[in-house]
Amino acid sequence: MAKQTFTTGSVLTATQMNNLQANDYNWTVSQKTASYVLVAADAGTRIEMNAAGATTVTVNTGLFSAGDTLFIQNIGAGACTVTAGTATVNKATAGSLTLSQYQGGTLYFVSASSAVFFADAGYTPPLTTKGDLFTYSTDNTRLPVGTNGQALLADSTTATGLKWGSAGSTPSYSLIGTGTTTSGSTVTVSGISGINNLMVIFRAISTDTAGSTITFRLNSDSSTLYGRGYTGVYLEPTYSPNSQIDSGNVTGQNSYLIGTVTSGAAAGTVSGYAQIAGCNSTGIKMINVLAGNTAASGWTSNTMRISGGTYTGTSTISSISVIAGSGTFDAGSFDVYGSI
Amino acid sequence: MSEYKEIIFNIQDGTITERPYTAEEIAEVEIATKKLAVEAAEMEKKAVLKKAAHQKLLDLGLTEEEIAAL
Repeated sequence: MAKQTFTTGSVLTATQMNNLQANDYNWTVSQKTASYVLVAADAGTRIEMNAAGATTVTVNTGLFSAGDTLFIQNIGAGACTVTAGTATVNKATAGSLTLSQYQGGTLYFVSASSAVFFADAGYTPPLTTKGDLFTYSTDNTRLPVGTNGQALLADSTTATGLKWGSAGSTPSYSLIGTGTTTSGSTVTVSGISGINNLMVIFRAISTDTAGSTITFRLNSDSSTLYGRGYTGVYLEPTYSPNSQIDSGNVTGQNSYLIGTVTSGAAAGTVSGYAQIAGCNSTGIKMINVLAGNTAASGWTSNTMRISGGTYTGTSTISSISVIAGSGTFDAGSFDVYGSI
Repeated sequence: MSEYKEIIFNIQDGTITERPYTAEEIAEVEIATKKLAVEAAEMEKKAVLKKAAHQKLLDLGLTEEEIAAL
């Protein structure tokens, strides 16, 4: 029975009283077979949707009073969505305004212009397929299972903040570029993208100036963001007390030392490798270098350097440059290998 | 015109381009080169002194084996 309005002098009839009493246990039902816009007389009744296709029940302002309640239920195959027209319709964060078949809920007005929809326990989660995960974007959402071996990863760029992908898998390296150090004073391999681990092989690099350092930079960044701890072994061509081992620590460098050309003119060359991890992240990049130089003349020494260090730039790595501290390159090359 | 330059191998499009060093980069290289020259001169001086000292030891009658044992 629809809500009754009594005024002074109105007579409550036995029929009305019985109907009002019955309504507590047997609400008046108004069945709709198409989308429907609520009217004031719907307060205190059940709106029963029964349509094969999708329908809506629209809620407008100025028709109901605070405390008015009605029940919306859907027995049709088509989903019914409670829709805010000119009124506001709130719901629980995890709730839904869409009613599948045999679902329903109470629409409770907190004012003439605002209602809350309390969906009954018949809520159907959005899961449909084996392996689906119940996630949330702006509403409850299913995340289909990934492929075999994939792991669930956080990814703020996706709608749900989650995705399936490879995690902790064994790196698979491939050659991505080569720089030829036969001229110039800086040789750069650029265009690196999406690579997390770099392995750089330095092959007999030399400059035309004895004593020149050979260093590398990431992203052409000459800021003092490079640091390393190192151990060096210096061996004379024949036994000599000048042969030595030393170790140390340097910070605030504007590039990372690979080695020193002791002879120049392609006679003394630097070879070795650098491993750089974390290149596709915004965190610190970890660097391991093992390199040495050959010595061509008697007064110079063979050197081997082992170092571990960091580059604290926050950008992902897109290039690596090999730099002659003095003079120009006259021999060698470097290969850049990468893995995601 | 300076011979200093950067050679860039772009792995995305396969191009190779060159860029001359900036004045700042050239200054950095020249400072390092001057420092190397100073170190080389010191090393040369040390080598000459070492050779002279070695000869003096020989002149004093020490054998090569004895000098090496020092």
